[in-house]
Formats: sequence, C-alpha cells, structure tokens
Amino acid sequence: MNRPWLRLDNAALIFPAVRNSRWVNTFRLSADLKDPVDPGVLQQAVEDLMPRFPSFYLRLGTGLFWYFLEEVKEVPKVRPEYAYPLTHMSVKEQRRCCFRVLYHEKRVAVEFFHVLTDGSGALIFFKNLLAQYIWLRYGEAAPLEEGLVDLKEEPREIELKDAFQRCSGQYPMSRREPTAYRLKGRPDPGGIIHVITGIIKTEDLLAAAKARGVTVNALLSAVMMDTIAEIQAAHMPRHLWKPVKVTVPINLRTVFQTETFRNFSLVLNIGVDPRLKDYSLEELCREYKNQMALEAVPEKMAARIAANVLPQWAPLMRAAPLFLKKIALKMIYNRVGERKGCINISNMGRVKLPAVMESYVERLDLMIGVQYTYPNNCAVVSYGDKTCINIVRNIQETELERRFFTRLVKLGISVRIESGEKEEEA
Amino acid sequence: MYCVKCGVELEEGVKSCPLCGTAVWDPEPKPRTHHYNPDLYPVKEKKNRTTFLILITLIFAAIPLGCLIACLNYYGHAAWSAYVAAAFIFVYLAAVLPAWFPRYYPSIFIPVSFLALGGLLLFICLYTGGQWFLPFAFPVTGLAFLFTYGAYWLTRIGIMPRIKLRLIGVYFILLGGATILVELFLHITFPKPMFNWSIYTAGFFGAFGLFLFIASFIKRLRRAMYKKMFV
Repeated sequence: MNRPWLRLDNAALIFPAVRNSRWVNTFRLSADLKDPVDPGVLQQAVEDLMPRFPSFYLRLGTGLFWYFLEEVKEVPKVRPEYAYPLTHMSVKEQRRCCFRVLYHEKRVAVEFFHVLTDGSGALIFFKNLLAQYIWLRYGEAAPLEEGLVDLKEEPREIELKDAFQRCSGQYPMSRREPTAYRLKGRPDPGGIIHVITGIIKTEDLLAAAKARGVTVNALLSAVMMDTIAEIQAAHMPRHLWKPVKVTVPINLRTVFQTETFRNFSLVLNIGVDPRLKDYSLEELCREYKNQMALEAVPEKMAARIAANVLPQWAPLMRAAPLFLKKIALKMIYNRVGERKGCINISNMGRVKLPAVMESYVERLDLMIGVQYTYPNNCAVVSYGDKTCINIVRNIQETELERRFFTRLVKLGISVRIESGEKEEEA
Repeated sequence: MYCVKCGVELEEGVKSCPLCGTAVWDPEPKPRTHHYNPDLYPVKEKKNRTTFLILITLIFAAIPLGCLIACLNYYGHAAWSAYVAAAFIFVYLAAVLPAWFPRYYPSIFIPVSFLALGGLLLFICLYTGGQWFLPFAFPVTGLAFLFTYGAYWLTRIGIMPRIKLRLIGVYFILLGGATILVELFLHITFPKPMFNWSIYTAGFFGAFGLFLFIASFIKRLRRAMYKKMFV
C-alpha cells in the first residue's frame, strides 16, 4: 500500500484530463536490431532498468483532487506487437503501467503515455533499455556516454523533479493566437492508425537545408507548411483560408540546462497566413527561422511556462475536485491546445549511440499518435546515415503524405517510402 | 523500384504505391521484405451489456410480481398492483427494450414507445371503467407521436438550411394548431370550456413558426439570426 508515488509534472496534468475512451496522447520509439528479438532477454532488461528509472515504472492513479503516479505493482511484461503501432492505451492499461514494451521480429518498440515523459526523456530510457538488452544478449557493454547511465547508481534527484516549477517565470504570456486551418479526411472505418515512413539520406537533407541557410527542422517544417497551404488552396475558397501553422515541440532541457527525465518541453506554433501572400519555400524557411529566433529564447519560454504553472497553484484550482478540474482543463485544451496548429512536427534530431551499440541497432523510429482533432502527425528522427520521417494518420486519404514526400522529391531529395499497409492479395 | 507518379523509391515487392495507389509493375516480382505490422488486426472490444440487461429485466419482473403477491394476500384480487404492472411494462418497452439492440433505431422504438403508452392508457381507462380513451387519450397520444417523430425527422434530414428553417416554421405552426385540437378533445370528453388556454399556446407557437417561416425567405435576417444564435 505504501508504494512510492509522484505528483504529475505540470505538462502532464493535461494528458489524463483530456483523454477519452477512444483517444489518448501516446508516442512510440522503436529500433530495428540486427537479429530477431529474444523476448526473455528483453524482459530481463526491462526488469533491470526499474531501480534506476523509477519515474517510468509508474501507473496512473486517480485522487480526489489530482491524478497521481504510483509505482507499478509488477514490472510490465514485454509483449509481441499487437495489430498496428500506437494502438489505443486503455484507461485500464494506464492504471497498470503507463508504457508498454513490444517486439516484432527484429524490432523493439516502447510506447509511452505522454504523462510519463516527453520524447527526449523517453529516448534516454530507450537507449538504456537497448544497451542493457545488448549487454545481456551479446555480452557487449557500452560505455556510459550519449545518455547512457550507470544502472547500479541511485537515481539522481534532479531526474525525478518537475523542472517546470523551477524554470517558470513570474509573468505569464498570453496564449492568444489565431486559429489555424484544420486538416480533414474521412475517418478510417476500423479506427486504425496508419503509418507511412519516408526514409531519406541525412546528407541529402542536410545539403538541401544548408543550401537555404537553415536547419533540417526548418526545411521540413517549411515543406510541411507549403504542403498544407497547397491542400487548403485545393479544398477551400480563398476567403475561408486560415493561417497554416506547424506545432514544433522545443526540448527545454537544452534551454534551461537541466537533466530531468520527466516532461520538459513546450510547443511553439510556427506559421504563416497564406491569405497575405503566396509564400515560396525559401520565404517559409526564412519565416520559420525568424519566428523561432524570436520565440525560442529562455525568457519567453519561462513566460510560456508561467502561463501553465501559475494556474496550477491558484487556490481555487487546487481546491476544486478532480472532475471540475477535468472540465476546466478540457476547455482550456479545446481552446488553445489543438486549434492553434495544423500538425505536429516532432524532430528528435540526430540520435547518437555508443559505437558498440551502433553495430547492433540498424534503425530508429519515432512516432507520435494522432491528436484528438489532428488526423495526421509527423515525427522525425535521424540515426546513422538515415532520417526516418513517420507520418501517422487515422483517415483514409494519403493526400498530405503524397504531397509532402513528392515535394521533397521535387527538391531533389530521394525518398524511400515504407508503409505498414497490408495489401490485398491479387 | 520507383513509383512512376510520385517519384519515390518503394519497398521491394509492393503492388501499389502507398502514397498515390498507382499500381507498380515489376518485371521480376519479389516477395515483400519489410512488414511494419504483424498480421493481426485488433478485435474490437464490445461492451457486454447482457448481464446488466438481464438484471434489469429481473428487477422489472420482480417488483410487479411482489406487488401482485401483496395485493392477493390483502384483497384476494389484483387491486392496485395491476397499475404497477402496466406501468412497469410501459417503462420497460420504452426504455429498456432499445438497450437490447446494438443501437437505437428511432423509426422502430419511437412508435413502440407510443404504442406502449397508448396501451397503458387504454388499460387504465378500461380498468377504471372510464370513457375517455377514444375521444381524448388516443388522439392526444397520436398527436404526441406525430410531433415527436416529426421533430426527430427534422433534426436528421439533410437539406438546405433555409428549407429546413421553413419546415421548422411549419412544424411550430402545426404544433400551435395541435394545442387547439388537444383542448377540443378535452372539451368533448370532459365538461370543460373551449378556448380557455389553447389560444395563447397556439398564438405563441403560431407566431414563432410564422416568424421562422418568413425569416427563411430573408437572407439578411437569417444571417443576423445565425450570428447571434449559432451553437
């Protein structure tokens, strides 16, 4: 009964409040290994990580006033992959453990409920899991670099802290901004999340970005904005156009120099209003760069954090019972959460592993589940010489993916497409 | 292998491009190598309501039976417990019966509910030896059914908004007329004066309906109303 527990961090507060029986905010990291996965060894690795990563082995509990995270009753069992990536994580499962470890042939995947951590925190856990798996399976120990930690050590206090509280500013920034265009489509009849992966040589992408004087993320975001603007132009009369914006998560660990393993990122909505002008790709790249330089600075980030943190401690909010809080948080989420962007572009950047591990890990993938109202979402990760762009969708149309990847091809970047679609036997 | 339309490279062995659906022609077909997903599809969990419904049914059977036994003990015949039984049958048909079906079929269940209500009223009328069923309860229940069904139909129908507004206007005018009819039936069946209250309801519904009917022809008024009243 006296299991250790944690308060939810500030960003995590929103996720259990806005979940419902069909949708919950999840994301997934997966790695393709050299050999088929040994589930017994993987299970052992999952068990070995538990003492060092107490902020992951948690289940979501419901209190009278807040949700809380409590240590799991038993270590989660690794499971063979089930159906399609990011299958719905039911409330029942969240009460058991907020992440799941899956394997399929040569692939290891971990799917996290966002309440635990964000992409960067999850990556640290995932790297350590892979390192432990490789150590147990092949007897090759990786040096403690590139985010690997010593599993024999005690967890450090800073890793379990909610960094939002420390980094919050005094004065909140308004969340007000114009509502963005919303992508639409016919929902998939089976409620299945489809994935289309574009694999690109990282050098090609870097060269194309460098030629425009921007980062890879800026280039991809600009291409995405261009694509969405095209889709809007194709489906809407001009007087009904809305701003086209991409939602870019910013990893605050680098901004505020902290090493927390829990949620510590914020999203920025970067975009343009296509009614003003037909933006060219170069202009979109420039817009991205300028807006990012303007917004992604510590003082403004602190003000944005303050807008989330200060209400958390408002006496009325604290005293309200959970069901009232849920209503309030849902309203906030509907007003400012998903209406201000068209799609997420979550770029984990270039992931490095110790040289020992690189010979065992062939490919890394990041996927973020669809939002409640966005039918598409996009996640990017570079590893080795490949960049994987995963676009998920819960609609039937592949218009966004087709336009996005063909746009990249037109820029002279060679794209290889893989998909999880099963094909009808001819 | 490349898609001729998108220009993207494809996996070995796919039959069509995942992006545009264009068929891929491969002179030397190879088996597909990369499978993202296992060959499984999730079985949709269906919430099993049967146990719950059986329980409810048992409760609905047990309470009237208990009343009946009590009545038989006291009076030797089914006195007031007959009303209880009739009322329970009505509630069961109207509220519990639809739950046995996978979804609510209004075209079936709305008539069934009103038939059950009619049956309940007929039973009470006959049991008490009243004369009010045919001249009053039957036509009023029928009117209520027609207007409920009409309202359902109006919310579901997919037509141009202004035509719909016109129909809603007509609906309210008819509703006003129906209140006069209700008072007429009351007047026929019971010794009540005519035009005591129905002129007010008829006037209100009629005026409201007429306003909507006229508004459906005036674009600016419609727009202004929408601006103030959209949900």
